[in-house]
Amino acid sequence: MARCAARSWRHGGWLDAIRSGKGATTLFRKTFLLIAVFALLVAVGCTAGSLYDPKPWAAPVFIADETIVIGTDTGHIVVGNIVTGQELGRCETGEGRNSIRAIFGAPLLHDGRIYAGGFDGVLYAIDPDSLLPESEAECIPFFEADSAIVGGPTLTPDGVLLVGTEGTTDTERGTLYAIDINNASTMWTFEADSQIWSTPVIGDGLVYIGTLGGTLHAVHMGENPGTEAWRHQAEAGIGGMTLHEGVLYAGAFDDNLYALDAVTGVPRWPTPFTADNWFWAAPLIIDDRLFAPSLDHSLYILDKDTGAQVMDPVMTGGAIQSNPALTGSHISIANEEKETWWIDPETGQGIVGGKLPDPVYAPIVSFGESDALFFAQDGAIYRASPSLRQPVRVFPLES
Amino acid sequence: MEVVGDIFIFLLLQPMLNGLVMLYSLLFDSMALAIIALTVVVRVAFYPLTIKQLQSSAKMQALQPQMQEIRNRYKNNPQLQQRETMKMYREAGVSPLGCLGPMVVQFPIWIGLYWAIIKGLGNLPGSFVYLSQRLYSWLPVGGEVLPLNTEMPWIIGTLDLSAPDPTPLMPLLVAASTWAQQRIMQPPAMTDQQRQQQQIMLFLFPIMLGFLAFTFPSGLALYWFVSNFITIGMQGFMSGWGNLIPGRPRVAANATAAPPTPQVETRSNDGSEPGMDGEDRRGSDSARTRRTRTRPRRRRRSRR
Repeated sequence: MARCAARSWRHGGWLDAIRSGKGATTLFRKTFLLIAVFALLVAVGCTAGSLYDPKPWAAPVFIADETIVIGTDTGHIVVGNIVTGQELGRCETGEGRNSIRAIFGAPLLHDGRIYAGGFDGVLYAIDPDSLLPESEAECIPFFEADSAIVGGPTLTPDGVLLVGTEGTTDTERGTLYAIDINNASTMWTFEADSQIWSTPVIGDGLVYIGTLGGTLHAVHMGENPGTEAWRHQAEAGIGGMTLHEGVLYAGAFDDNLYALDAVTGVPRWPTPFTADNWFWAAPLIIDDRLFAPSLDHSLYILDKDTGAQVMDPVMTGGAIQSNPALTGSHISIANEEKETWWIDPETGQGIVGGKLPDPVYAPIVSFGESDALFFAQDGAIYRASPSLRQPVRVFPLES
Repeated sequence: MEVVGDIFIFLLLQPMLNGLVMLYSLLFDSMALAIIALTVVVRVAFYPLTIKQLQSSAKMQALQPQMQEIRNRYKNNPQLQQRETMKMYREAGVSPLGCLGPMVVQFPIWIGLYWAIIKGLGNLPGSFVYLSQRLYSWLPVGGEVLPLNTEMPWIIGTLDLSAPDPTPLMPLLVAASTWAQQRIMQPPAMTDQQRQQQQIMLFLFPIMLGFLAFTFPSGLALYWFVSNFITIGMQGFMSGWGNLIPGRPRVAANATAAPPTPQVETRSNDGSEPGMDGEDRRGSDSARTRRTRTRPRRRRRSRR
């Protein structure tokens, strides 16, 4: 290749330089120029993006009326005021696999402390009052797991923290940890068949976790804790899950949405509902209807008991990754095309709202009577409502 | 700019990503095998182009004596020298830029593969979602291939192909194979300057690619290594392994493929460009050069 390039150049422009007898200096200069052009081409094509580019996935969580906590794609836990837009404090988590610092799961608030799982495999417990704005202080570790934590922690009524991991590179089998919130001791563990990215969902004596291998595990928490009650095998990874009135609704990357009896694991629908792409986000249930967003750009409206479509889907024109939220009288969703959508759950009619500067992957959070908060990929939170023409950036305020 | 990005995604990234995932599912869920297979597929797809390049290379090799003669004759008139050189190429039916084709073609492939690895193999939530939007709906594979196994056996246990090699082995393999590829394809230098230039190229490119392999995902480095390996093999089988073995005579790439005889000598001898450089053609350097250049070539041929 080098020979070819050099020869071509020589017979084009090199010729003069060589023939003119300017000697080695010109030769070296030309050669280095050729190398530089080659390097530039490779650099422009290949270094415009980074290998691992985490995006905000964690839902903002209110810890007071106007105060939220977010886990960021840079591995920070940040507390801020949603009204003033001011940062109140932050701390930094450690590096995980492939040197990634990130918090993908929503933090949890309990008894004035924030619990958040880091991609570095550490569950942190933070007193929000101890944080300082723009600080580079490290977050306080609470519990160290075997590998990266992607989903958020869940708390049972009797004070047990549940959090899943993606498993070590040797096993690639995630572990579900049950941790005593009072002393950070491990009460029991459960080894899943594959990596756990989901936030555990708790039911009556059971905890449900989905894996990337497509297994949905129901694990005992009361008697024989850490033992499997039942499992359901999908053809691909499990996405978002919602537990409602004894039925577990789980989307999967095999394009199917499953409805399973929460106690027995027996399917409740004659067949799973199938879309044209994966179900990533958790479905939302209002009355008898199930609203299921899919990566095929549609929000499906189903009968929650039969899985049959009761209305035409809302075609948004962009993949829907974020969990929808009920805000006032509307369901709010956001799609890959950066659009906010507002759907009337009664009529199934959707209208396009204002456009965000970036897509939203984090679950949408309702705010006030009819507003919603969108944590966009640019790292900022936007407030929007059906009546607002343009979403308003509320945190952090642009400097 | 967004349109350019969309075209790039549609024409290059998406086929590459789908090809990788398809090969992955066919080849025992191994990304290493998928990349190796993709490299072979790419090389097979560009085989006609490669052959054309090698043939063009051979013709250029055979024109070296005539080119040297032109250089000597018009050494004081670079413009005329260039014109005569181009005329000679035209008459011989070769293009000095023709051999750049495979190199130029490889750039987008590298970049496409790089982005396919970046976007699809990261094993992060964002990578999965991206994959879901880029996989062809008619492809018989989908979400069930996730999470992708991007590891291959390595000296430290396993090597993650979506990350740079933490050991220097992969960069060294890339550098060594690039050096060997250049070495086996390198023609005998005609002048000191050319030799000097070849030496620079022989070491600079391997160093540079080795450095890039340190920072880029190992999957891309694996592609470079396998691609170099295939080129070395093709070149070796076509023109012998002499260049790689110390002490063996250097063999010009595809020296056996004789080009059509150019008209340069006839024209220069019949005085069509008389006295442009003030050179006495009857006892000219070019004539001596021609004689001295042809002798070793004959010896080499008779030896073979």
